[in-house]
Amino acid sequence: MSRPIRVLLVDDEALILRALGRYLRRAGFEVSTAHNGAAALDVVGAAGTPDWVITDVRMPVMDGPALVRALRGDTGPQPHILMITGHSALSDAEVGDLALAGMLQKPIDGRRIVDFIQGHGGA
Amino acid sequence: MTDRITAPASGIRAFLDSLSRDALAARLELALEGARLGIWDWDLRDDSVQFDRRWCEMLGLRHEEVRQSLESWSSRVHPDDIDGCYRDIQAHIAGETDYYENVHRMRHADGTWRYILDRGRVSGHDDDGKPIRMTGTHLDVTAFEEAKRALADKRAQMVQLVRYLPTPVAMLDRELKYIEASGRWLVEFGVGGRDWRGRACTQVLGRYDAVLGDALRHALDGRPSHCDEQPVTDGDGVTTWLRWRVHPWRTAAGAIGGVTVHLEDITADVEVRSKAIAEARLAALGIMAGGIAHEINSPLHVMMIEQGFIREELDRTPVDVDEIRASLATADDALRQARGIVRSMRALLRSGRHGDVPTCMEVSALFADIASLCSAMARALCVQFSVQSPDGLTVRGHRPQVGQILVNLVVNALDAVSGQEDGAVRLCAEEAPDGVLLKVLDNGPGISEADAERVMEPFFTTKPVGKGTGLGLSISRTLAERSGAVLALTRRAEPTEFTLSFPRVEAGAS
Repeated sequence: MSRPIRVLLVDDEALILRALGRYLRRAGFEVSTAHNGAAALDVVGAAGTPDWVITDVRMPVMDGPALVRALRGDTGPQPHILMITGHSALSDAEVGDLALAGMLQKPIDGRRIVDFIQGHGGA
Repeated sequence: MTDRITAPASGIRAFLDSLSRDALAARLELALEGARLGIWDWDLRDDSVQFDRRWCEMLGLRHEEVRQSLESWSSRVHPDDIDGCYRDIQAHIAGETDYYENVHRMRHADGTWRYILDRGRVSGHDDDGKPIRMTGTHLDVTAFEEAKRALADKRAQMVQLVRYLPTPVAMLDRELKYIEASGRWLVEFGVGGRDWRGRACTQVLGRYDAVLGDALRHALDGRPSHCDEQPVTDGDGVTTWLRWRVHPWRTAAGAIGGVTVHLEDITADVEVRSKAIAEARLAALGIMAGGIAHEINSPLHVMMIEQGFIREELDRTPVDVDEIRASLATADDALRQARGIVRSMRALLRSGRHGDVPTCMEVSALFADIASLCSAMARALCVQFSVQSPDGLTVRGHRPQVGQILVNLVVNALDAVSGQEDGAVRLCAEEAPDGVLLKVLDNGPGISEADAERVMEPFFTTKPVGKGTGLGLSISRTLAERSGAVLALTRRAEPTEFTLSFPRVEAGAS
């Protein structure tokens, strides 16, 4: 592995960001976090497109699908996107439209995320 | 003659007897003129009738133009009245009545109908004793009849208005005897028979003397009183709720003629409302339980992540103890978050029974509890929810009920803005000159002027069927009153604002 896989975690729950962030860092990822879609776009703008965006669906200000649409509208390099869903799952059509790498249902531990990314071929 | 008129007489009969025939005729003429009486004299054998000048003028006719026959009269009587006239005349001729008397309408020359009081008597018989003449008078009583009819109509209207009133009310005289009562009153209190008017109302008033005794005395002194909800417990410990109102009524001359009493057993309504309040509490609890489940899931999720992290860390060599410590610290924070939510729920929902005593509460603490219950729902609806309260602000009331009102308002506001791009709900507190205002604001579509007048009514809702009972606000208002607060819609739109205003807490009150 030449360079660590860069992951942007997006969730409005600070404790979730803290817990998942620690897990992913310890697993060797380079992790940045944002507490909603708009903040995530700021991070992308400042630090460049990560390899993976792992985002919650429901968030204030800008929700997960809106964030993904904004990212997909960009002409630059595209991240893999993993959507973490709560009680409101997305339809298959939406998953296709948003070109998601996948969707995982809450509650979810760090291991499942790491397995998913590695199963997807990493970066 | 003049001397004789002014001369003292032993009586009117003696006086008349003393007059000459001409003088008598002149007197009679004057009297008839003054009394506005027209005279008729009917020969029953050939139906010829002598009408005098006043009889003719009463109908706008000239004496010389009127044919002296019965037909001059009968052709002018209102067709609906003529049968009654003949019936009464026949009854008199047959000897069934001492006088003939009938009020009927006659057509005046100007086309209008005049009410005529017609009176007469058989004035001649043939040798066999058979009546052959009748003599009588006409008097125009139109003004009197019209007034009488208007009065009768008015009375009929009033009686019917009272009879069909959906509330038990009675009008009593100074001796507390019935003058009038609504049908509901008669049924409710078992007042039977046809002759209840004029009967004493003691049967009802005696039963409720403890409640109404003073009120009746005050009303007879001109002071009205009322109570919207009064519990009365009988010997068996059964409580009845009464609504009553006792008001003096005045005669046209201004004297107190008696009292009007409105007395209603509203036990059923009170019970329905208590039940509705209990149900609304349950519904609010349900809404909050949903929020709480969501809210508790989140710290549980964090703990699950940290548990997985620690388990894997323990398998590593070497184990990084600092990582485990950091992980446990996050898990502790999550645990604290979960406990805070449970504590808030208990603070808000702890029994809301009538026995609760009002307490002083810190607004910021109350708001924190509400925020922890409602913010999950706000997040689920993608609504921005903010709470702000100056430090040290306190209000006095029933904490669970005040909490329920605010949760209810916040949930309504969240509903109002859900699906809106920039939906925002704000819960805030401010100090006013005479108390404390707790406000819930939202930037939703607002409330129309027509709806604004009705939002506090029971069962009024703009939510789709199945989404709200429409009881929320009306119950919230009742709960607010129990805490001495007032709930009102203070702004219809941009933002929509509901305010719960509390009076100033007296220094030293606990």
